[in-house]
Amino acid sequence: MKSNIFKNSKNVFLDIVNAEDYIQIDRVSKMYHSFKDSVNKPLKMLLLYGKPGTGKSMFLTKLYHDLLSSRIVYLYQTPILDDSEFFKTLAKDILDVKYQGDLNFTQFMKILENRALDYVPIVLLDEAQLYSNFLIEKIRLLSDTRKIKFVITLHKTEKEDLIAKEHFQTRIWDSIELKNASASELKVYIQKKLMKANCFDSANMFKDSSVKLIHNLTHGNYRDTNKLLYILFDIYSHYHENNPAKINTISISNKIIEMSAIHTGLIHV
Amino acid sequence: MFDINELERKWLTYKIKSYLPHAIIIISTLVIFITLFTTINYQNSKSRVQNGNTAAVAKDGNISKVKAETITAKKVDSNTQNTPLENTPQKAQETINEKFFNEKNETKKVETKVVLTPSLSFMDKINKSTVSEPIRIIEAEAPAVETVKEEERVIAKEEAITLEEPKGSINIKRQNIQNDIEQVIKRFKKSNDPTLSLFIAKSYYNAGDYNLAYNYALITNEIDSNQETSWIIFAKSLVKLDQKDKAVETLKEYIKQSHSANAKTLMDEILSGEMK
Ligand SMILES: Nc1ncnc2c1ncn2[C@@H]1O[C@H](COP(=O)(O)OP(=O)(O)O)[C@@H](O)[C@H]1O
Ligand SMILES: [Mg+2]
Repeated sequence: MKSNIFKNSKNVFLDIVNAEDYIQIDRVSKMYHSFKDSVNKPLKMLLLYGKPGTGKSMFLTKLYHDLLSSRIVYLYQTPILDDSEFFKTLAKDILDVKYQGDLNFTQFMKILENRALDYVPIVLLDEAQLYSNFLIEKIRLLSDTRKIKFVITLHKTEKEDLIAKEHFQTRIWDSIELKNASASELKVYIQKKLMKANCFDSANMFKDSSVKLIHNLTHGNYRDTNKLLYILFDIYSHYHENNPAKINTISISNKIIEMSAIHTGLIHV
Repeated sequence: MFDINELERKWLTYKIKSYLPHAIIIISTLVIFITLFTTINYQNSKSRVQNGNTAAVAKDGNISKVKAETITAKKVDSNTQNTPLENTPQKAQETINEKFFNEKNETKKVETKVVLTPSLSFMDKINKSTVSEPIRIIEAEAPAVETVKEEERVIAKEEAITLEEPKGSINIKRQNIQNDIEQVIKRFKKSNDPTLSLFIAKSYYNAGDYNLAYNYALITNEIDSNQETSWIIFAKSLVKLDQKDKAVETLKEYIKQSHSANAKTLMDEILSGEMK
């Protein structure tokens, strides 16, 4: 029996955000570089927004990774929702001050003003739509001091659009909206991702027509595509071990794509 | 994890569901076509049965077919008074034409004038028995004509409405087809309009009554020898009456004068045996 090439392929599509797994997609790549340049300009704040699953966390993680060598940069992937905890974490990381008890905004500002940093630390906040309006307002005030530069990501819904407008409109110098992949971008994404993990055989199985069907089902959303392909390779693995006559290794079967879509809820039966 | 059998079953359901609308459309179109086809066939066979005895008699050449016709015509006459009508009945008649006859041959004006002259003894027989008869009827009925224009109009309108209905009126149509012909015969007797007699010829031809079709084609031709369709129905009826040679002869004569493509096609079909 041939080794199961599908097991490795399956793990490629685990929903993990890791800078090493970042895939360059032409359009996003251009945006990325201009955004990265903006970080070095004297701007108060940068905003990254888009629907869930469009690659914001991935983008931010990659940015963090790339800035590490040249800048003082901090990444907070999960929001720190408690006000005091948020300021204490910033004090500890940026100012190297370990604070006992509660720390409020006024106290934190005092410490920041008394400390003459000869650089502007960059703070990356993922999932900023989860922060309270109060905290968002304080982040805005902190940005105004130009002593800390914030780069934040927001899910784009109507509500979050409002937050973005109200709190950041006047302060944001640069913002980028991430969008779902087009069918051709999705093909690049899938194949590059598989090839990075040395899954060349399964990468070759993705013909234009299969990718088109996947794109129809996921609308090019990276997270939905990951979920779908994870299940797809799970099913392939299963057939490979139990009923190899049902699969071929030339191209991805539409039937299995649709079965995966049914399982992940992209198709309702 | 997943249950592969369950997933395969769900997938099948999904596939069936997604093909269902297409299948329904295809099946229902088929059903409509089959229903239409069988109803038309049924209509034809029914009117054939209605004309059956008279037609057979006429073929024997003993009794005038038109006798029966006279009776029915009279009957209808007494119900609805007959008057030459202009617009509405004309329209109704056109609708009937469109609805019931798939005659591809459009009437075309031909410059040259050739008139059909049946010379066979067979033709004489038919001439004597049928062609002369309607004329007599016209004369006989003429004085009895009263003008009840309004009533007639209403009837004609109703007729037009029923005929325009696409579905569901199949039964009404079936009952009316014989009636319709009779109505048109009445109108023709009043107006001597060749489009009406041509319509009657077509109707009888389609109903399988080739003697009457022959007669009315001939009548039409006498009034207007440029009516291509009258020649074609005349020839087709002849073929049906086992007079293939006469049909070809007639068509040849007509083609000489008119160069009609339709007539040529028909002649080829007759000669090749395609048209039987
Ligand atoms: N450029 C990319 N390269 C590799 N993987 C990506 C890329 N963009 C998105 N992904 C994958 O898509 C998934 C969803 O992206 P994520 O950044 O979490 O979306 P968001 O934060 O906008 O909800 C991630 O698990 C990630 O693996
Ligand atoms: Mg995210």
